[in-house]
Amino acid sequence: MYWLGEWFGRDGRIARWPDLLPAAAIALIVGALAEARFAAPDGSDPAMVTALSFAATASLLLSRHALGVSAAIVCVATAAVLAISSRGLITVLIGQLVVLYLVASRIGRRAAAIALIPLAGNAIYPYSGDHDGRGALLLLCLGLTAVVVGDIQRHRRQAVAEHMRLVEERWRAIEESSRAVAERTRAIAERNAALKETAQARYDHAVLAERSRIARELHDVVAHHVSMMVVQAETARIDTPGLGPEGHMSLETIRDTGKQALTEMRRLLGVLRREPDPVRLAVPDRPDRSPQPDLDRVEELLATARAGGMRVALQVNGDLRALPPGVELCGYRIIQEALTNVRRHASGARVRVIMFYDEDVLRIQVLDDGPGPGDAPPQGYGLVGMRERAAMVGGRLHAGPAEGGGFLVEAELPISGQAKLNGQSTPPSQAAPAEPTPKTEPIEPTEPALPTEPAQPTNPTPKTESADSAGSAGSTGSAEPAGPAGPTESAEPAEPGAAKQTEPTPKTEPTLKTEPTLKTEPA
Amino acid sequence: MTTTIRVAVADDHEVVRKGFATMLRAQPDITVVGDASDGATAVDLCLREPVDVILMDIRMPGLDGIEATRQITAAGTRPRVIMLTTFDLDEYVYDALSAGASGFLLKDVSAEELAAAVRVVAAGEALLAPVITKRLIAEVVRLRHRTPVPTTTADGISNLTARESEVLLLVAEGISNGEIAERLKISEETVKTHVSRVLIKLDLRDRTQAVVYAYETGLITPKG
Repeated sequence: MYWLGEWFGRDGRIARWPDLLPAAAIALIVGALAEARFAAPDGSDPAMVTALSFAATASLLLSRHALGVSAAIVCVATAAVLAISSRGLITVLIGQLVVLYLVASRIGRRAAAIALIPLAGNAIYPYSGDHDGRGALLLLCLGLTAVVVGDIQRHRRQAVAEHMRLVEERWRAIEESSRAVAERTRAIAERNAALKETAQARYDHAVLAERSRIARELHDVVAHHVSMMVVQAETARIDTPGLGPEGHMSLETIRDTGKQALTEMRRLLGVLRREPDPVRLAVPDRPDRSPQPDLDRVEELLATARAGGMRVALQVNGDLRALPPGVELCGYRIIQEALTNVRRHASGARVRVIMFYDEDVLRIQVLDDGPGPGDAPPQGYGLVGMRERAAMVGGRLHAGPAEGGGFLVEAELPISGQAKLNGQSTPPSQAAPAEPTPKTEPIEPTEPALPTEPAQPTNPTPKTESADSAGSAGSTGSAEPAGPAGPTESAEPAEPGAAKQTEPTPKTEPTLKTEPTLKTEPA
Repeated sequence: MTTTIRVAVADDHEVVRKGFATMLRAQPDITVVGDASDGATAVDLCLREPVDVILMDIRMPGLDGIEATRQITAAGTRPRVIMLTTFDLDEYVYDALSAGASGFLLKDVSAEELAAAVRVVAAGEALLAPVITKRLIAEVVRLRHRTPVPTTTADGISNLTARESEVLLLVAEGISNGEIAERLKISEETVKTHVSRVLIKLDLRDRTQAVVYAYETGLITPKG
């Protein structure tokens, strides 16, 4: 297509023709003058012949800008020449043919027909009157041929022009659509950025709201304990026999200090309470008027879940004992939130809750056999809350697909305030909303349902005489050789795969039962 | 007042139960007749024992303090209820008062304040700290915006004399009998008579409930 465009130019006109035309015309003029001089018809007026020849050929020079004028001159000259002699003049006839071609190709058929009149007239009734019918007819045929060729040329040019127009149109359309695509791409990118920003903002807000809620609860716990101190100090002041005035004074001081602390905490709590709480999904209609929960009430929590149709089993391992209230609250809330998640995302799944009281860490696992998180990364503010809670007591939390399907939430909460988990407890606000790692090593304090891995090869626990005790020591125990396994566990040579739920210090009522397999309790 | 005031303590923490009982036993005119560790037990106790004043923790497992209060006051038994809180939480105030509580106490109260509060409530006086009254007003305003006030409860007002209505309005402002007497230029004894007539006519337990009544019926428009 390139050469065609080059050849015809953008508007379809023959590009080179106009350059050739003047040269050809000049050559024709010279020829015409020579013909008039040396080959004029017999008995003709030389001056007249010269004038006609010149006019017919020179007018071709006008053809580029005034084709009509040039055609008229050539036609008149041709008719005149034919009137003088039926043979005519070669140069004038050539000029006539060129003009016919040009008119047909540039103006149209009707104009070409008009320009053909001199030759047609001559064919019907020869102007010279010498009755050379064959010559005149031949001349007309030549003229017609020139017109036809011009007409074809014209149509071709039109077709090419049309084609070029179409090509151009299409080209323009392509350009336009690519521009539109670019624009849309940019718009989409912009929107994506905006969405991302919004999501981030919402996430940040959720984290903040969750933190202030957690802070509120922790303050609540602390305030409760402080007020207990005040009550006790006041009771002792009233009650203690033989308390001297000094003892009296110091108990009063304790009481007043506690009161001051509570006043400050009330103020602080007032600030915290002002935060809106859009994240909490299960907002009770009325404020919660039960005391801040602790792990003793997990069984109660599970009973509620069971009453709601959930199939959930509890397993408690290790040295069951009372933990600091903050840790107890945190553990309770994590279990509660995890169960809520199961109900929301995997209703009908069976759930196993495992609490493992290690020496200085409380490990919690909530495992369901539901569909798992699917392709979507685990999201949602429930996880945000759990993570924040774990971080608040210096622990960490992992949530993600479980190895054999389902979803696993596991938390490690250091029991004493100082105990730091080895390293990687990053502040959750900086961690990605969803942890990309699909699965870290499970805690598996006792894993009765998966008893097939007798000993974890990486576990250097010295207590390897019983394979499953190594398993029950927990994969996290690798750093602390003799520590984490429940002290009484390794003593009993249980059959392989049996759960080792022991209650070394049965501090609480025996509601914290141990259940080796997933129970399905409809009630 | 020579009769002793019979008090019960309901709290899920033994420290509080024993502590408050100890503090109250030190008073000659107060005797502790029982305690309860949750709401249901507290309700049972009040049905079983003649109790004048019960100290009731709001947050208890099972039946919480506010529900227990509602049941106790609905049963028409004698005791007046003082709510115990760690915090003076906004949302509890209105709930507790409309459940029939006569007052609020923070748990870090001193033995003397505790005894005084018990005496005040036993005598039918309002035990509303100004700050609590303010909260009550704010809460009423909030609720007023949300739900229309039931007008049926306002029927009793037409039975009041002009003077009694006047006294009720002043009671609702939270001022004492002495101040009311001063304002109306009548004796304190007369004020007392008016107040008790108002309480009887409107079937109210005590002054606190009179305040709640005044706000709930729109007799008093909170000024914010």
